[in-house]
Amino acid sequence: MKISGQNLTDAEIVEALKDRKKLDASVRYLYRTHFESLAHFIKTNSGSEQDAEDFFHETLVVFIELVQQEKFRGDSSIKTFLYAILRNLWLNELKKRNRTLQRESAYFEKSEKEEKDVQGGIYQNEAKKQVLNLIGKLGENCKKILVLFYYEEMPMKDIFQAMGYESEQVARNMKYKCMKKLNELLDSNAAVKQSFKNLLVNG
Amino acid sequence: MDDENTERSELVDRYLLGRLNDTEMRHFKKKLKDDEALRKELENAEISVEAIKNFGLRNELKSIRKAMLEEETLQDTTPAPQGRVVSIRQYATRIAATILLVLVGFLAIQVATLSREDLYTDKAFPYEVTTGRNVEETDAQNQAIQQSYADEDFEAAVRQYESLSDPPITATFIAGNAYLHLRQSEEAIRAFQKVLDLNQAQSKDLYLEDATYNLALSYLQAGQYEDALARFQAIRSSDSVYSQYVDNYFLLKLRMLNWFD
Repeated sequence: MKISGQNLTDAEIVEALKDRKKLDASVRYLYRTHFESLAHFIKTNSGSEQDAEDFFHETLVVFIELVQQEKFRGDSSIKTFLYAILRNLWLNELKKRNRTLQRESAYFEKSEKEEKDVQGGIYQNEAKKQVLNLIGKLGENCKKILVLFYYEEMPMKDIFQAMGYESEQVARNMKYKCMKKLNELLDSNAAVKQSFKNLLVNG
Repeated sequence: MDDENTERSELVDRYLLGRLNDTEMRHFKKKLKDDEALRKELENAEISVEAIKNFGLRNELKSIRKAMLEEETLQDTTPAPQGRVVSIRQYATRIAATILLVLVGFLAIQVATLSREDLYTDKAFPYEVTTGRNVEETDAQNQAIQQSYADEDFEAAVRQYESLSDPPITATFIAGNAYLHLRQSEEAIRAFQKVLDLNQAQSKDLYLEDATYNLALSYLQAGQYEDALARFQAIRSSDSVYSQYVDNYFLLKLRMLNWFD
């Protein structure tokens, strides 16, 4: 795939986003092609430069997870889909700030199916953010080893070296303890756990 | 750490990471129905792993964006406050270097292909004897030399000239041209210089412009470039009819001959 090329089709970007090795290039491409216009929407609707950065980041998180879950079907363009996510995220934020939307973008096309997918993605994201707060309570080494194992899917024989542990077994024990700690945190936050369970059940 | 817990945890991991084969998967699903602890382990692990993946994705996106912004900052700060001046200077230097390179290349080609003979031939205008033109003497001596020259018997013309004890201006001028034909440059120089001297001494203006131009040509033919250059430059800045044949390009080539020949 010509991920470093100048112009990529939406299909090529979607495929690249499913491949962690191509994530860096595809994310850079999304920033280069869509950040300015979406940032303009935020900034012309009571948002700051930092809001634009934060909410574009959040939009990408939602979008990439939807893509990886095969929930972006390409019925609309990536640009339109990103805008739909950003708009919803920003509307929620404006409500929190007791503000309303002032300007709509010309290229926003409403689609019920798309809106449902977008809302689902945003709901998932909100639920995950609650668990993120729990992850934040773990130590740095715990967060690191869990990310290496579950996100980067790095084998334990590589993790123990990357983390500087004495052996693979030490790394296994460490990872086990970290997961146990996170599970305990989940058990002690029934509401968070339940909302996430609903999410998993309802997809 | 409890071995049973560890084993259960690793089994759940392999299930969540899609690393169970078909047999293991069937066994895992069967065990899940009967094992409450395994179900609880899986329930928590599913939530935790989803959140960890989300956490990992966020971190990676932040790293990518941070790298992008740092790269942009680096590009923006490279020109700096004085960067524009430096940039323009560098740009001007590049242009100057390119021009110099082109000029050096052009000069190199010119030098490589330049020859004294070519330059001389390009600017030499063989004198043609015409009767009645600027003739101050109509005696037999001049007529004999003129005839030899007209017959292109330059050696005879020279012999006849050299036999004269007190050659007149016309004979001297024709002899000068004969010497040029014979490539006897030093003699040509002396002959044309003598034409100029005789004109001055006799307050005449016979063959003045022709002799001046041919004297410069004689120096060129002799390889005495500095003398040739001085005379051609004087011709160019004069109102001589020959000034139109002496252009800057010719003078440049003459200078190059002076430098490199």
